Amino acid sequence: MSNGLLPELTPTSIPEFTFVSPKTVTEALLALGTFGSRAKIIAGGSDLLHLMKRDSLVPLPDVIVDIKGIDELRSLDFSADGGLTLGSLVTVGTIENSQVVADNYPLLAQAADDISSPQVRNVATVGGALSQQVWCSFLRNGLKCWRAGGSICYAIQEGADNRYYQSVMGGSDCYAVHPSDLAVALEALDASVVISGPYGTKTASVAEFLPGNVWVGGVLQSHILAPAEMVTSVRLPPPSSGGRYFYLKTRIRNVFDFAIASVAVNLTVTGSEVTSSRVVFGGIAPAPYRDLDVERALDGSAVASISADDVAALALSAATPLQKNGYKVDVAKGLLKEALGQLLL
Amino acid sequence: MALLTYGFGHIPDKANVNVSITQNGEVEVTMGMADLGGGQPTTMSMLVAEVLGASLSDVSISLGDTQYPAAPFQGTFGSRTTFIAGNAAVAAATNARQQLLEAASKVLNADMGSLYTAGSRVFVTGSGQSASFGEILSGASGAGGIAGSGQYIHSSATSKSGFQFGACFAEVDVDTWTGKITTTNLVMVQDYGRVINPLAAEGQMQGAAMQGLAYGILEDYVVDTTTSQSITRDWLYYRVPTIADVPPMVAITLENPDPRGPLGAKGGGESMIICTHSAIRNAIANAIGIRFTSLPITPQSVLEALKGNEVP
Repeated sequence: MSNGLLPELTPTSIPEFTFVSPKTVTEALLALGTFGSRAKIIAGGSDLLHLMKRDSLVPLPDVIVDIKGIDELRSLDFSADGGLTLGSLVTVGTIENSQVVADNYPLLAQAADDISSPQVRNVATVGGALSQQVWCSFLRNGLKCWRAGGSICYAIQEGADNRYYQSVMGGSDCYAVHPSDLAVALEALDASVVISGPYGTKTASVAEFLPGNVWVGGVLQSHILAPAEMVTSVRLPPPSSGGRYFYLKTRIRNVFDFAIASVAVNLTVTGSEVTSSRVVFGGIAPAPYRDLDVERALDGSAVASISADDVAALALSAATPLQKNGYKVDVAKGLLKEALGQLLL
Repeated sequence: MALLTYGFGHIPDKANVNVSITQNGEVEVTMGMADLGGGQPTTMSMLVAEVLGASLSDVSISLGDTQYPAAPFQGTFGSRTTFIAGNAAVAAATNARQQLLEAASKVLNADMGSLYTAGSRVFVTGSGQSASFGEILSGASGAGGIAGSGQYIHSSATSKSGFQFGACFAEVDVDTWTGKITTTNLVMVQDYGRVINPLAAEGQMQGAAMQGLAYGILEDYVVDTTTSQSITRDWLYYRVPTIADVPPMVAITLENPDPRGPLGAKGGGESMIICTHSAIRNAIANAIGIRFTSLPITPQSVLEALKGNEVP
């Protein structure tokens, strides 16, 4: 039933599409370049299949480029001086269960372990975690918002239920939070995203890759990927000696639920002093939110002198919560307090 | 903790059940009842086996088809199946047993009053003489197969009579920094009248408790006021619990036979839904001194209340 405001949305079977299965990145780029915005990449499908089954009014592709046959994207390589390279097809489950990751990047392993459910972790990939659509309850329940070809954000209307998956740090057209746990951990670990396109390859920091809301070819998306580009890998610098890491997430259901808030803390402690820090919040903003105020308070401080309470009080000073989600700021600060308490013992 | 009382099967209803015994001594129960996963087929088979004196392994049951007599007529809901369909099953088994003893009295040449049944055999009291159900029904002087039937009328009078009683005790952790509520322990006590199948009874208590827990701290049906559309249409946004949300649970059954119930049993599938969320809510009050009056209680409820705010 259309009320004039909304088009009809009836869950249906997946509409017809052309299926392309390249075996190399070059072939994949050729397909993406040929079909442009008509094409979408599928890897694990934990996001795209939802969209294809019309959980939302996001424009659908009629060409699906299945990259699962590109073996070179599956590699997980580590060396002590080169750091970690994760192919874009590495699954969240692989990260969760990797000894190399657990030994050198426990933050990443913790974040992976907190993602969705074991079934989803076994198919969801690094590339998908970075380039997924937002999981705003308005978008995903069929409302025609900015990301679905409309010109309204339902989440910021008077009385809208924006308690769970909407930003407390402002927005730009769209106010949905970025849902990824992995991206939060990757930003805290100063990872860079390797993008391949018709021009060759380029790299971007996680913050550059995920501006939060960006119009690309008339489509509002969280990341900067153009239709002819794809993520091929993510690179993490070598772990620093004296590194201390913690990832914490609050969700209402203990599995298969997105973050109300999460925090990734990466401290380097030299002697008795915090010599560098990266503190990134998730689930509260359109992109992972790096808190420079908190980092400045930590950097150069003696471990023994740091008060988790005082540092947490400085966090998210730029918060501009919506009508119903102010508590998410408190949750995020609470998580930071807990993480610092654990790391500064 | 919180208490419960629940009037089960509170709508007049009736049930018909057929219980037949073949010439091979096999007991066949047929009834239209649906198996919703609450152990109904096993419970019905146990009731019939108990009344007939048959071994449970000799009892088979066919259900969930309109070709069978309706039991209960109105359907499997309202914690009514054991009580309503069970009473009809007991009546049908009693009828079949009567026919069996009449046949046995001739085959064994003994007074009906001296006969009793156990382990799918009929015994003559004091004589040591016995015969299997199959031997009684298949021999030259046997009666052939037996077709028994039974009916139970759940009248407007009896439908007001069934009450469950129980209690739930909850322990919770409330994280006052993040508002996260974790149920760490549940102990449930429920009066089943008579427990027919202990495993199924405890399973029903656990399942109902999880529905109550979800009602208390997880599930929330949200309709957006701008568009009047539900924004919790699927299991991602409408948070049904998963196994990761199940706390350690202890289920304790009490038995105070209900004179109207089949062998004293009461219905009890849903009762524990009633008090689990209240017990959790009271445990939260015990932990942080705040008595919430709306559900679900979420991190938002906790954090806003700790600051003395209304939930916006």
